[in-house]
Amino acid sequence: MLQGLRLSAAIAALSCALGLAPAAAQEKTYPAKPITLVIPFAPGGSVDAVVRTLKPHLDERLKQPIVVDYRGGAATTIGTGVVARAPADGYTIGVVVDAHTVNPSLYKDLTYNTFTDFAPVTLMGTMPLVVAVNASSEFDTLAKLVAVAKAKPKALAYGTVGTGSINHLAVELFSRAAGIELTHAPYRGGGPAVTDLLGGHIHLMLMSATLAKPQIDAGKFRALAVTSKERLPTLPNVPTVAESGYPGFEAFAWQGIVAPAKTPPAIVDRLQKETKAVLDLPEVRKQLGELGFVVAASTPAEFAAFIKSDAEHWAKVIETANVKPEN
Amino acid sequence: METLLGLYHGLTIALLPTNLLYCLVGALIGTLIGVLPGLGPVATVAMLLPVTLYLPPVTALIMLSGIYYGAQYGGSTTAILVNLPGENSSVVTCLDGYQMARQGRAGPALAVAALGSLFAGCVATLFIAFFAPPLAVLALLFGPSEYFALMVLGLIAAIVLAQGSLLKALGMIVLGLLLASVGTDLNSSLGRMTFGIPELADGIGFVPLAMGVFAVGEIIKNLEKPEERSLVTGDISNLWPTKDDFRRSWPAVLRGTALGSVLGLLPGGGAMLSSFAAYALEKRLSREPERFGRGAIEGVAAPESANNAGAQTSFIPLLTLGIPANAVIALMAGAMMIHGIQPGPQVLTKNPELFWGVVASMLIGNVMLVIINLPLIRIWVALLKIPYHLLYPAILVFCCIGVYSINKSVFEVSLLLVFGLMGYLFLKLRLEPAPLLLAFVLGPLMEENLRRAMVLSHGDPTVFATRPISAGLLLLALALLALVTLPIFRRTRDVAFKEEG
Repeated sequence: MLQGLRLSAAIAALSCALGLAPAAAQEKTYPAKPITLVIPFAPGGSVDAVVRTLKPHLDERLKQPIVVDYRGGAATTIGTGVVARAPADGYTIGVVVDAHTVNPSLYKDLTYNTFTDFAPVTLMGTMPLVVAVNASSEFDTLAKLVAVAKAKPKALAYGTVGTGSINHLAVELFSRAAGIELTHAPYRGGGPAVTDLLGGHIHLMLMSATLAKPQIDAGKFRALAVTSKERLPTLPNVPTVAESGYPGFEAFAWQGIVAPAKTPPAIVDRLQKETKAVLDLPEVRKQLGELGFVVAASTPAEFAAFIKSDAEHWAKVIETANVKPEN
Repeated sequence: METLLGLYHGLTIALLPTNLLYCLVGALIGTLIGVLPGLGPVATVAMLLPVTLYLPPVTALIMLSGIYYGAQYGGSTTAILVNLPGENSSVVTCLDGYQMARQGRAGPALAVAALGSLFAGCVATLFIAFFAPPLAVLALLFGPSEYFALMVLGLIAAIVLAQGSLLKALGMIVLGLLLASVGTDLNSSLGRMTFGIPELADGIGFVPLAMGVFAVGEIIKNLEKPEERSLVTGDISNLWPTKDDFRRSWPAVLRGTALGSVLGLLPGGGAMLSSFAAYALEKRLSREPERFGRGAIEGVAAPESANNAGAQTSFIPLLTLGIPANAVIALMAGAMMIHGIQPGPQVLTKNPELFWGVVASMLIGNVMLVIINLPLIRIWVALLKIPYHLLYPAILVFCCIGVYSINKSVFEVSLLLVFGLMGYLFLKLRLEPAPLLLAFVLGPLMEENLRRAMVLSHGDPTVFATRPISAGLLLLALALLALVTLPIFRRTRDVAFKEEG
């Protein structure tokens, strides 16, 4: 047994040594073949829209095509698991989103470690949420909504795209800040929830600006507030939650890129540099802005720190709001 | 008048040479992937999304919608020929379509499916053109309690659907509900019966289940009789439906179209429910219900018209509310977003050329599909003469590729095998897989909406009775249940069962 251990340690050391030497050469020629980018969702969602905006520019800069691999399912853990187990050579990277930092608090049996199995590359940006109600409802300000919710605890219902999703946790966070109690109605995906808000079957929803904007423009939904620190350029007349009497309140969905842990730092840096350069292009910013996406590139170290603090933040909310599935 | 102007405007757009070309391309690709088992429109549209970046938005949507309704056509071909439902809406077509093929009547079945689909597609398209905005309001009236009532009605209709004993049909429905409950529970995020397998976190896939219990089971059963050389023993003389076929089909097509147009509006189970409902309705109205399940042409005409009508009207929520009714249409919403068009209530006013262009192209596309498909019938039918030691391995390989391509998961391929064995067992025990599949699709929707309705009413069950639509649907379900248990009806069922045995 001990011998076996020693042997495997030796093999590991040897393969490390063997792996490192060509790696140095690899970094200079990287990328020498197409790079697989794992999207942990089915095609067609907001992550897909962002990646499709970046892809032509990234292909051009890396001189190799990015191949998008959709591995949706199980709250992004299937796709993210694929990245965790991929060879750390820079040819498999993946998009992670807010669920990435929420999952360790929700699920005990993840097939990977959120903090040690990845080399964070960069945060791409955040997607603030819009507090939306049906335009024909009595709620014309956030204060009015809170007043009704206080007078009748649990009478108002909000839709989400699932238990533990960012729009669920953001409402929990707000409910605690405002001292109110709301009823949670989870849906499978944004579409059905939007339909029920349109039909007046639920009262409010914290949803991405992408989903909310067309309905707001058409006069079907009313936006009471946005959850970002600053107002959204696409909804300049809508106040933030913070300026509506809850200073410091902030909640958002986000998207970033990670590589498997042990990916050579030079490769991670190259990927970060190129992604940031693309995100900084004015046309890209404009296109992403229309999707309600606020560009926020970061360094790998900043992104790692962000993942850690975001996970701690939601772990606290999940604990106090009692949304853990093990209960 | 405005509608006619819009439609005229749309036709001028749809008849532009490039748009005609891409409409044809979409219809062709759709037919092809519909025929190839397992390669569904979701994967195809996802793969073609980047291509649409280089096309004008109207052209892109014309092509993508062509793929979508083209796949509905193609899907019926494999359902009829080899008992292989690639799409959930073609499950019912297997019941009588495959029996017709076995009797050497694949030609008439395919022709009626194509013509019924053409009629339904055109009617439903005009339906969209004239009534889209008011119909969108109808979809909004359906809240959680209404959906729950609709699903209850659907499941009770599934009992009528079954051929054999009532008890067996009930058993299959319960089994379908159980299989559907595998996966992460929406309300608590807890895994149910997932046994720690990550691939089961999102539940069992419909494609491995449907292909397994229908096609693979059938293939295993046919291995028992080595003397048969091909699927069809008799000769295939008639490719075209007879006068009698037409006489039986046209009322079924009319009813199927009406049902499909209405149910297609409802997101989620709409399309599948419409084909099941159309079949159940025909069987109920028929003077000889015992013919169903043994090659009744109405049993092909009604569901095929219904699912095509439903496929067209399922565009209404997208075009008027910005809400995609299913995964394929969600991808089309994505395509619109790539082009900077926000799918939403304003598409009709802000991008009228898009709305009318796509609607008009559906009329053209449906005609194209029939022109493509009718001459192909001869070739499809000839496929049946392939000896089955060549045909069956090919089908199995296609099934495996198809299932693998959905999630790139080997696990799902092994699920296909397990469900194949299960399908064989069902055949041996004379259990019907159709009610199982219906329950499998409707079960989660029923549970989800029941729980949602109860959450929203704070635990008050009277919501189902006090909301008029929900109460109406539940009353209808009750009436149907009474019909099923009526002694006279039960006797005819028993007679049918004995004849079969």
